[in-house]
Amino acid sequence: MTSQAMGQRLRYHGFRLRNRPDLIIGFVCLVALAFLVLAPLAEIILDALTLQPYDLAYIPDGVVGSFSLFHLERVFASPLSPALFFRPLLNSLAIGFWVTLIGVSIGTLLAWLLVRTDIRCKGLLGALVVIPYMMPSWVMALAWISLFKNDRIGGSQGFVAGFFGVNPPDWVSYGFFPIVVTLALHYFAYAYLLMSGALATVDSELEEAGATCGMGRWKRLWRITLPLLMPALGSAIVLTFIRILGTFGTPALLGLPVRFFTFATQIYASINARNNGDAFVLALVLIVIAISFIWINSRIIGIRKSFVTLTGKGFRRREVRLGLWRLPLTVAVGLFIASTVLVPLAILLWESLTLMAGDYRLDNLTTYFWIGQGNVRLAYGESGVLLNDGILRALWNSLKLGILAALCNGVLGLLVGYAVVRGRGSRLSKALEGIAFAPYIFPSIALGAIYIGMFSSPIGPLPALYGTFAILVLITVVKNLPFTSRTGIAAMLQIDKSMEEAARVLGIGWFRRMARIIVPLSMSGLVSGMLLTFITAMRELSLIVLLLSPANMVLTGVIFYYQEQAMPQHSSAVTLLLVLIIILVNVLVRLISRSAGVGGLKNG
Amino acid sequence: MAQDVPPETDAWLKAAELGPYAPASEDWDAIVAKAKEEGRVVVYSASGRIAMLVDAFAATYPGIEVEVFDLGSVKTVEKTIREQQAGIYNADIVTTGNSGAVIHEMLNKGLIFNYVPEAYKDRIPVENREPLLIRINEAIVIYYNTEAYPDAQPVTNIWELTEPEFKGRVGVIDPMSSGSSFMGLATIVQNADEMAAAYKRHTGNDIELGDGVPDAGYEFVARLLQNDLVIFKSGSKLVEASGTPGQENPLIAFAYMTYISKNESDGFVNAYLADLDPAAKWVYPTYTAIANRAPHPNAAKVLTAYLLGSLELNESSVLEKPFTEGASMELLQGLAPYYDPGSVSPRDDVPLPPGGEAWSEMKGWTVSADFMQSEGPKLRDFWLLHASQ
Amino acid sequence: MEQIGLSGIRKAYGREVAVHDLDLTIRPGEFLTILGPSGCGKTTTLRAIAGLEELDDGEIHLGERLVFSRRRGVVVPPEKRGVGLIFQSYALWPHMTVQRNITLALEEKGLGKPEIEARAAQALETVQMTALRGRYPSELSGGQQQRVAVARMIALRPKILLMDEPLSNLDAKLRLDMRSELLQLHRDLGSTTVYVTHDQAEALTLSDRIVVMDRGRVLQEASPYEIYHHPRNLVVAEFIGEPRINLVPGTLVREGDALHLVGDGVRLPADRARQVRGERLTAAVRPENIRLSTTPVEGWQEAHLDDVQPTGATTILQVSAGGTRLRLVRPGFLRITAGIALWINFDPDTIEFFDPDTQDNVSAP
Repeated sequence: MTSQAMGQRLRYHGFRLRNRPDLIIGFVCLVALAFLVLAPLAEIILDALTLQPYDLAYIPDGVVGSFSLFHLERVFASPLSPALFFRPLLNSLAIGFWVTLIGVSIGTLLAWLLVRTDIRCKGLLGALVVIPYMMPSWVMALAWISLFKNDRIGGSQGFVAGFFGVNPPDWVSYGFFPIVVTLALHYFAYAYLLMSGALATVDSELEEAGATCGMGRWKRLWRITLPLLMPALGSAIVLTFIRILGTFGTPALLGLPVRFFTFATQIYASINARNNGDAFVLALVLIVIAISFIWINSRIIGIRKSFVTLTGKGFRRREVRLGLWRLPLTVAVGLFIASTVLVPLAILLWESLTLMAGDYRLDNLTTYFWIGQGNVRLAYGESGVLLNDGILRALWNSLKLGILAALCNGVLGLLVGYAVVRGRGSRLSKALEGIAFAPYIFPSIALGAIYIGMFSSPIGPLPALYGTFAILVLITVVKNLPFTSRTGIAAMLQIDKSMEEAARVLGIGWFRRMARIIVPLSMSGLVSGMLLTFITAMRELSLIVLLLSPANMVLTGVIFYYQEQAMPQHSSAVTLLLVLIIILVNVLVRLISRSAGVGGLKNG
Repeated sequence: MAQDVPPETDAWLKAAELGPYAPASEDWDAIVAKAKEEGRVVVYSASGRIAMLVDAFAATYPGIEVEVFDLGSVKTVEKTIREQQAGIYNADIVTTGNSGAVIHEMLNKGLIFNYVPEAYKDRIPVENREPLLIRINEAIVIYYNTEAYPDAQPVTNIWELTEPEFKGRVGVIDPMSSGSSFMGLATIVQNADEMAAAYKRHTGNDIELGDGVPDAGYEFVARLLQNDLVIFKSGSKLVEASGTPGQENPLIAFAYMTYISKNESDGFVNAYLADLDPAAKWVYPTYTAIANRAPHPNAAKVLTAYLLGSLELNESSVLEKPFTEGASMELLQGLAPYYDPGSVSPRDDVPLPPGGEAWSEMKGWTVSADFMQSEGPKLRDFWLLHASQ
Repeated sequence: MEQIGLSGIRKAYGREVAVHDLDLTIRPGEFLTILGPSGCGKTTTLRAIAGLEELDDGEIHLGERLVFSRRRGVVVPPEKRGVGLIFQSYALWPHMTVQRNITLALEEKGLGKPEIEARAAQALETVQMTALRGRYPSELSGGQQQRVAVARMIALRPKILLMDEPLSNLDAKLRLDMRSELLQLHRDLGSTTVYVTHDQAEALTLSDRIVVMDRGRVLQEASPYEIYHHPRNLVVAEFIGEPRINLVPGTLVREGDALHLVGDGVRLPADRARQVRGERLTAAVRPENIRLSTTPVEGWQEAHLDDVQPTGATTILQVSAGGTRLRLVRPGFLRITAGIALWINFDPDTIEFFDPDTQDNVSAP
């Protein structure tokens, strides 16, 4: 090929690239994420296949760092395997299945009721319904224990035992059943958040078509609305399931007394023992499971199929009339939400007000732990929560972290969604989609540990981020990217490409197109994703604990400290504070987006 | 310590006067002066209570700021190792339990260096400062409910807890999450011969080991688990379970000795099994050391001394609650936040904390770092296998 | 007024070739329709002109400008081509008012605010949507939305106007009304317009020239009259014309000096057939070109009236002669009953002949 022809070829591809901003974005994101995501993955694989210092106890003359299948044998094919791997895996899969089934069903139903029907008190219910997700998941488990504790773990009586005089059987108090129930009561709100954004953008006309065929409203929901929501539903199921596989707190609290172990508890146990070999092999299994799920999901849904429901051809969002069902459903939903929200919060509040833990008598109540200070005998002299400088500083840090991570993730999710959907079917698109999701299934602890190594020295122009606030934001963004990229993709899938093409042909450049058209149209989906990131970031501890420094202490670190020090009143109070802040921000965001007409779609 | 150290470390050791370069006699004033110039000391600690010392230390040594990273025992080790691997030398003092890792992976690998202020050497028995200085000794003990057993201890031999009478009535803190609880268990297994002897004394027979069980120590663990041992995530919930008054059938708890103070703060009625065959307490130390290439080695030395308590402190000192204030604080210094029953200074000239006098009477075993390193993983596997039924 | 030149355009999706090596020149100020069934490549071609399709090969000139050349490495993005495009789905932005939908594009051109407002107002006036300018697309009917899309173009004044089946989503009556509005748009703008449709009636009504495409290739490029009366091959012949053209396969027979096509129960004069290879041939006759009599006429062929379908202004008659079924169309609302005998005759000048294998038109001009 002559150099002129080469030059022309390059020019051609250069022009082509300029024409395809999605390719450029996709490529840049891919490279950045490859570094942030694949490098840790490579390290995990490497460590899983080489001898670690911990293994010297088994192989005294082994060489650390040499290639070895030792970990694989231990986990999959040793006498330990049933206890270490198979049984916990089955337990986790079973929990995952049931919680996903129940949680996503409840969440979707609630989302449909609150977004598309004329149910009453939408504003209030909509705001309250996501609160269960804002609490650290173990709060629901603690509430369960307080209610259903039996004498197996002794101590003060549980509420049911005390009130009814009957000790609940072990299978109600601990193990599989309560784990499924408490997690479902936590994750349904997560599914709600994921589905409500999608439901907001389904064209009523499509449902009305069903009505004219004689379908009743429930049939329409089942046969028209649901299939249209397949991308969002698929995402919700996959995300929930995988998240549950990695959930540690609740199964630990409720499973331990009856020795019901899950995958996550085994991973954490291994990491606690600094047995990285076991931990990383188990983590890799999680990753493989997650990737399989994504793959299956995309095969079934098929991102190339069109789920376009926003074509600019006339969008109607009419509410489904519930008729006679209206009042009963409003009441039912209200009661359900009240019990999943108010009960745990009430327990937290009560705990924070008790002078002596476990003593529930009224005269044992005090506000000291909120607004008292100066009593050195109490709580090691720690001031009450609202007057405590350390806590208030931590609060500010948590907010900073949550907001920054949410904003960054909003932008990133949009860009990834844009690149993936515009480049549908191409290898770049598939690769990007996969990588954007990968951080989701890294056990947070492992990611944190590896990030210390990665960012301890400068990388090119980037200074060493270790010890800075920036690295906390970075790791939170990366870990939460899966949410926002999925919601970004789902939001983009629902925008017909003619929206952007019309703008292009009219001469509107990329940046303006994004700002004026793409962003407003995908706003409701993006806001869901950002809110989710904010909530998760505020509740996060395991991810950032290795990267925290006293100057950057966040609320969850403070809670951890108080739990460690067995100061239940402070820990309950700060947890309550955390939940209240999250709720407050949620309410504010909803109010603002409501008045700004987010979703940009006016009702017919 | 005839270790080959990299040249940078060697240079640092020389400048800091540590390790082989430790002087024959310290010039304490010079050290304090250099510490004030350094102005800061960074502590990686498994326990967050050290943060309580920040203000007091600043009052005693104005100009030196203490920055505490409260990480928990696993992460303290993890963070130190990873940082140094990556060439980051951020920490001055590393203080944590987790004997196996601390000795074998950090001390023996030159990631931390032992430092005992000269003035304290005579006051600390050698086993508490070699190969590494112990800052505090704590223990796991067994609690019982004094309301349920008002007259005498429920058991006198530990093997009784594996019998049907106590099925489902013995609780332990999850050794997979709590390093201290694990060390307690490991110490029992470590002393397998004594356990076997205790068994013989209790039943008159030799112990029969189950399939695949190496010795009497492991056998004890296996039998506890088979006897429906209840596993708790939280130590305070466990002692609440054993100590709450008004229960019909309270648990017997393997828990931290320091929790006896909850009798006063929470109204529990716990008591130790102080007289138990073969042992009543299982001791695990918290070490303190100076990190390799610490940026503020002299401040670290000063803080180390502070952590050991003042030199004015001795057996006849009068100490009153609250220990973190006033004259008691001036005497106890770094010991103050840890001056609880069941939490004991390495020094032999410090009075036992009130309520914790039983310490010296209770027969105890101490965890061995070598055992933890070489047998720890196997014990973990054993627990995993037998706990998951 | 600008000319549009396409040469060697090629686009493939994997193995499937959407457009094969297309050459086309659209003259300045012309209204050209690309007509064809779904999947024939017409929309791909249109989008390629706009720059919304990445082509595998070829060159595109808009006026003097080269906007695409694979070989020379030129790819001008859609933003910079300065064409106007009306989408099949109108592509109105649902989160903006009608007014904003129009003015957004104008802002890109660097016009001053007063000018923008003036143009928008004038455009809205032209499509009679002034009163609804504050509404959102979801609050408009299909026809109104279409008019907004048109208003956008009016305000923009592009020199090249592209329309991608803009009427296909409207009901029949509205479609007819809007047709003339679109043509008016073309005239007012003085633009070069490329119109894509599968509706042959639209093509015939609106176009200066029609390009018929099928499976990625151009079958014929000619005026509506030419295409209608002298379709170049069978595909075109069948595609154009409502009701559909009659196809009569048969054998050529020489009777004295005259050639006849003998079909199944019917005979057609075949003098215009030439370049005949072999004896088999297919004749094509438009329904309006078959003469009809209810009383016997000398030399005419007898046929049977199967069905009568009045459409108001015309009447379609389904007739069979022997084994051959024919459609005839006559002006007026005929009151005639099915089942009677009729006599039909063919005008030799109105019959086109096609080679049954190559499908090409083999008639004498």
